[in-house]
Amino acid sequence: MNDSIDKLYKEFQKEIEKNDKIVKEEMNKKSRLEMLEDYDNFVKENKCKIKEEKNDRKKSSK
Amino acid sequence: MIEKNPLNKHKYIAIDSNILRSLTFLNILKQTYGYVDFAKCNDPLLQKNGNYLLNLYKLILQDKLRIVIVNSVYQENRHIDSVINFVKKYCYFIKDYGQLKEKKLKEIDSLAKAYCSSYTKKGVRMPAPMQKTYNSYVNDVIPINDCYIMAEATIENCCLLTANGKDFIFNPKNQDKSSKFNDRTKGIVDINILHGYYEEEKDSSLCLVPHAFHISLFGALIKNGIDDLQITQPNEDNIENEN
Repeated sequence: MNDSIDKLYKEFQKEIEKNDKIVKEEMNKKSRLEMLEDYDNFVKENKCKIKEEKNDRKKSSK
Repeated sequence: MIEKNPLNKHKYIAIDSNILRSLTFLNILKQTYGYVDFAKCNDPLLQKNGNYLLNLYKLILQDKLRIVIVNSVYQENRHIDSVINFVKKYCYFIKDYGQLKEKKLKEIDSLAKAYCSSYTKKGVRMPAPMQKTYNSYVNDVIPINDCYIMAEATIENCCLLTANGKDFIFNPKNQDKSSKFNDRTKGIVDINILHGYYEEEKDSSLCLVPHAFHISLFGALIKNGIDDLQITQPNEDNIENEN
């Protein structure tokens, strides 16, 4: 079992390393607005759950 | 006495990439084997804080605590299939601001920059709690991504759970013994208060300020159950009120 956990972990790390390399390049190629548009598209396309907004307490005005 | 708000039965907390990745791996192990022996687990964060992450994982499954994925954390992980599957199933996202997007971005950018600037507290000049880095897209130094993560969480009125102590909680280069263990957190809290991102509870002196806290504190924080967890809760979007 330890060997299979080790295998799973290595596969996961490999995926992370590949991701980090792409993300590093993307961060230097995209504006924050483009990133936010990507995020909104992802949320919309995948019908992701949205955080509640309603609350009777508000940000302090001080 | 904290006023209970029936509209807010859920508590939300933002997480950074390290926590998200470890939670995802924990989920893979739970789905594959049904249980996890953290001592035999290769993930250093699970080895060290496995029980806290397992508690967090259980609270997510029971829908007692909701995890928020802010834009910058999504960007840092968007090409990892297993993480994407995890966030789609278990996590919560920020609503689309539509035409207010640029205004929201300015608010985030301004707060992220404030974390990288010195500020004045009670007449004393305080050092910036976070840092900037060079970015070739804008050909200038800009706040590091962690500043944006903290700003996005703060604007959504969420505390940030992290395993990255040296970037969110303390500055390892700080020589001042009196403040070296949580100097970054203190600075972030000061700046959030200066910019109006805090809540004062009715009939109480309690002031809740979004901030980062380390996963190792999670066990102590939920000792009395999730209802007593003193974290900020979702608030109404201020942008619409300003227009």
